[in-house]
Amino acid sequence: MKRKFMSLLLCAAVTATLIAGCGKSSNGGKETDTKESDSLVMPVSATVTSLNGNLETMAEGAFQLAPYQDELYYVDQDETRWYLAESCEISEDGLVYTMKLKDNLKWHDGEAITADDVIFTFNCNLNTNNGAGFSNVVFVDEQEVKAEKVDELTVAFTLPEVSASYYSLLGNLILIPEHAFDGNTDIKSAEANLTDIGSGPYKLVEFKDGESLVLEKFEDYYGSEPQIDKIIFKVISDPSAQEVAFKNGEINFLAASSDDVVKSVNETDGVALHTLAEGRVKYLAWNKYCATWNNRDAVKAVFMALNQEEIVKGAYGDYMGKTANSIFSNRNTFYDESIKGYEQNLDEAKSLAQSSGLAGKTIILHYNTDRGYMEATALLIQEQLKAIDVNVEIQGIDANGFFDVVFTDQDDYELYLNEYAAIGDPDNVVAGMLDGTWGINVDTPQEILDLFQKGRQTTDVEERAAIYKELQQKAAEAYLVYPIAYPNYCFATSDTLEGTEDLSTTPVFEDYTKLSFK
Amino acid sequence: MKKFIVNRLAQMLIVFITVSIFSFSIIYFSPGDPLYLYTSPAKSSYKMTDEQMDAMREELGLNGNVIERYLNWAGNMLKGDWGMSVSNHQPVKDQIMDKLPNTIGLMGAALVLSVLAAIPLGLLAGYYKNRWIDNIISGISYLGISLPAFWFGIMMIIVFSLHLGLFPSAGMRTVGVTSAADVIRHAILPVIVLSVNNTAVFVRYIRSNTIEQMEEEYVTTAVSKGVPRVQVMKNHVLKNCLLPIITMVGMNFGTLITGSFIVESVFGWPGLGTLCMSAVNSRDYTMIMGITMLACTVLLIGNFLADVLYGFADPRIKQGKEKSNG
Amino acid sequence: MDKKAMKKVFLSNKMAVVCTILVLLIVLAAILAPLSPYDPDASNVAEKMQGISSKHLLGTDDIGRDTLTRTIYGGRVSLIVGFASMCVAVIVGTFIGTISGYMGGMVDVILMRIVDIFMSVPSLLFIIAIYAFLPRNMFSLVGMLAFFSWTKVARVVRAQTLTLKERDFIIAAKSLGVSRGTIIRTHIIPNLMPQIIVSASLSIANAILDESALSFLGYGVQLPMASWGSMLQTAQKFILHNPIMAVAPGVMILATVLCFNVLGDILQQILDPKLIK
Repeated sequence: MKRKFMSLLLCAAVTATLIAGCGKSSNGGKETDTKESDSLVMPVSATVTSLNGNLETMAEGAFQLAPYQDELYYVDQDETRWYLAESCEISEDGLVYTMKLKDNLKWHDGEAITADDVIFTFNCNLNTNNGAGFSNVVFVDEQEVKAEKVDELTVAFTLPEVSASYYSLLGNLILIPEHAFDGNTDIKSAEANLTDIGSGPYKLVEFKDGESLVLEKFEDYYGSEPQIDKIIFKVISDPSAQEVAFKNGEINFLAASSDDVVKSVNETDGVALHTLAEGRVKYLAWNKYCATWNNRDAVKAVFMALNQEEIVKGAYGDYMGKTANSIFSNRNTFYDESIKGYEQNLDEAKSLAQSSGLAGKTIILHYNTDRGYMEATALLIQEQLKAIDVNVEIQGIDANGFFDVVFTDQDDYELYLNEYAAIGDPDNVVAGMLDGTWGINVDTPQEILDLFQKGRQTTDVEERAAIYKELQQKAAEAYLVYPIAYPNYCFATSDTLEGTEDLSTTPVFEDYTKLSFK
Repeated sequence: MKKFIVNRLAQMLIVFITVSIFSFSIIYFSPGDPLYLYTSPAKSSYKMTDEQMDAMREELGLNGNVIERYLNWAGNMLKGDWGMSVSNHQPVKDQIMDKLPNTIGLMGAALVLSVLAAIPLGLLAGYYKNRWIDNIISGISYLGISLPAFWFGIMMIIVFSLHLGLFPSAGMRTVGVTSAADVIRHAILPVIVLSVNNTAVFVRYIRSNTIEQMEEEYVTTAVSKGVPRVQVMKNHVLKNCLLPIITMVGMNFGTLITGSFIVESVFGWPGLGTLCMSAVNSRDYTMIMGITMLACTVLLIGNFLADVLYGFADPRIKQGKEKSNG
Repeated sequence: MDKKAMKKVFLSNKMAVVCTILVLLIVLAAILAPLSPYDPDASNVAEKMQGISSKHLLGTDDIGRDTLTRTIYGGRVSLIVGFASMCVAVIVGTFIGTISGYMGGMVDVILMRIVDIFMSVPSLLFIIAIYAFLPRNMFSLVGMLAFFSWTKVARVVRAQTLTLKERDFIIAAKSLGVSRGTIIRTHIIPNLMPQIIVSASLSIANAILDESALSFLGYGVQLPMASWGSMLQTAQKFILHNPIMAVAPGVMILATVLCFNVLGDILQQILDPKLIK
């Protein structure tokens, strides 16, 4: 018995050392050769939960699906860039949108992309059991949009009423193939969601949940030929580990998580640093279902107690963000620089805290542990609110659970830190965050909802600008939310990677075919 | 022997049922409506009607009293239906089974490594009791049981991965490379970190056992008769020292499981630990229940095997040993 | 061995003395923490992420808090959590252990099966799972740690009670008609003290280690309160740029746990020289 046991152990030991030895020697050269030249490896904190862009709606997921699924078209501040769609025409009365697909489109499995797929995707969004439909491309003001096939490549969308943002919203629609789902619009648990249902320049090679997502060049892509062979998303959840991996050359893309990272990367040879305004708004919101805020003066007290400069300097440092003044981001089409943000007024804040009964209370603040700067922001807010005798209890929740806890009608917490993308048309995301589609616990006054509505129904650009200026002003006056910062997106790549500069949208990169290695 | 195994199995069954009740009640008594996880605005922009809510409740087995619900749940678990994950709507069992080999591999390698390292170290320390070599080994083993594994892991990453560049810092493979060698290269640091605690425990155990054996009469007699000490060591002491390791391995299985969870989260190892952490964070209770039940099962089986193996290896040990050990 | 002799042996053991002094120093520092010129929670953005300097002996963290001060205050939390959960575990463990050992029979069987159940679940996993539904404060933390650690004490105490039960003075007391409760209180427990002290020492070490692991995984004390574990969690993000933030609390955990482990072992050897395991 003993002898057998020992010899078994010995065998195991020998094999283990042998394999380990081989591993070390065989790896070194080979791996670094291939990687640098033809694949872009990017770290992520978690893999996508679904390969279906209609179900995967959070930023981290969109980042991974960007090379894999194309939009119809993208409306930027000064131009429209066409992807799957060739054109989209709006009728005189602003109610009918006729969208025409390009005629050489193929799914990654080789089937042609047709109007039927558009209709199918549309119907999936209409099927509320899917819990999808954040894109809201199927509803305008809670009334259904009608989609009709005109010919094999053309679909006409008939709106119940005029909506100025519908044009850019429709462009964001991500198509899914009807044949992969057998035409069944109940797609929530469909197995096809984990198979290749993409249309972008990179197709699926391998998806390992919690580990990696590997994409490779799609030969039949309709656009210009992708130049990098592989795009790889690798799960490295810890920011320090990401940095180590970047310095070791295991990955060749690094989104900086702090000022120090930017500084240290700046000093490294062979690395190029890129900075984009992310177009996001980081804000502090209060939960209207919580009785603490029944007296609006309590909200004012909190807003007035905060020192925004100090928070942004402390949490974001010199590179990573700037103070926010509006609920629209600095990359929003209708962002207005002249809106005044909140200013600190401690005396006023103290007396309001006293009179509203806020002083002496302990309140709960939730933040998303997977979003940068949130913890430091939370700590600084906690510290600053001590000045008005408010005790803040901070609770971090990771990205997977954050929205389930925060976007509820429960009254068990007071404040939360969140962020939203606010690039382009304000009606797409900003409105959703504030009108009860997502952030159902934000107490938006009717007046502001009306302004959102009015902005949606106005097609004249000048007029819209005026409406949105008033809206931003009103939101500030109503103590709706406290926009804290507009973060920058700083990312480092090896300086051999070219084409990163043309693309100014986040999540990067809008068009992966533009990227190449020198 | 047969009686011992049957007895042990019966005990295991009782423990298993209790644990399952325990893990079920964690969820049952947790505040809030579990249904909310499906209907929250982050999951669905659509407000369900009451009938739809009831239908969903029925589908998820959330109707009925505690006992019905427990039996329903336990029945489904046994049938292999572990439910759907709340966060991505895919079957829990598939996701767990997908990750299980990674965790088992990590644990297994760590276990082998710690046994292999502990045997010579423990014997040496015991043989040279209180000499400098013993002092060094014992000192290190004290460090080993006192090291916070996650901290040690981070330090290892800094030294071996960042500064020396010997090993990758995270993950289980280089993407696109499918060789076993690559997995092993990724596994070296986590396996070392995971095995440190167990190695230290084993070393201390073997050391004290060796000392005990060396003082036994048969050893002292043999030595006084002129048999070389090394000979005695090889022929007698070794055997009596090594047998109890089997029990030690069994008893330390629990530490190994929780240890692997921590190590996984430090090294971003895609195993059950990482899966469990994100499940806890997203209140994905079907996933939490699945993982806890599986971990307990693995632990119970580990303990059971250790006991039985020990029984085989040393027939003197039967029920009696259990009593005296308490 | 009488108490005086034990004391002498203990004091002649260099390791024991060194460890005792270290533990006392750490405890003293924790008690005297308010003497530090800095507020452990007060941020100072102008001085964030500094290295070692005469002003901040161990530098500052990401929002400008003094690392040394936070380490000392963190020691308070870690020690309190360790000590409190040890107390609960020892009290419960002694209670159950003596009852189980002294009563024997069905009571013993049932209690020991319960202990078996506790020992065959991966405790950290359960703590984390339960934690998802508990308010995150020090009470639940201490409660959870104690809930899963009393079993070790109970086992040791039970085994010792079993042997004590057969000793003459207990049998004599029994035959004199002294009640069970009194026997346990006045004869058994005082004689268990050596084992209890050893268990207590090892139990503190374990509790501190477990607390730090929990904090590290994000289930520890609340922000901004620091424990060594939660400091490590924060430090992990900045470990490449400000490693001292991670080294300080890590070394403290290591030193404290090491001392308690060594002390526990030495005590055990002195109190019960035969029981080296």
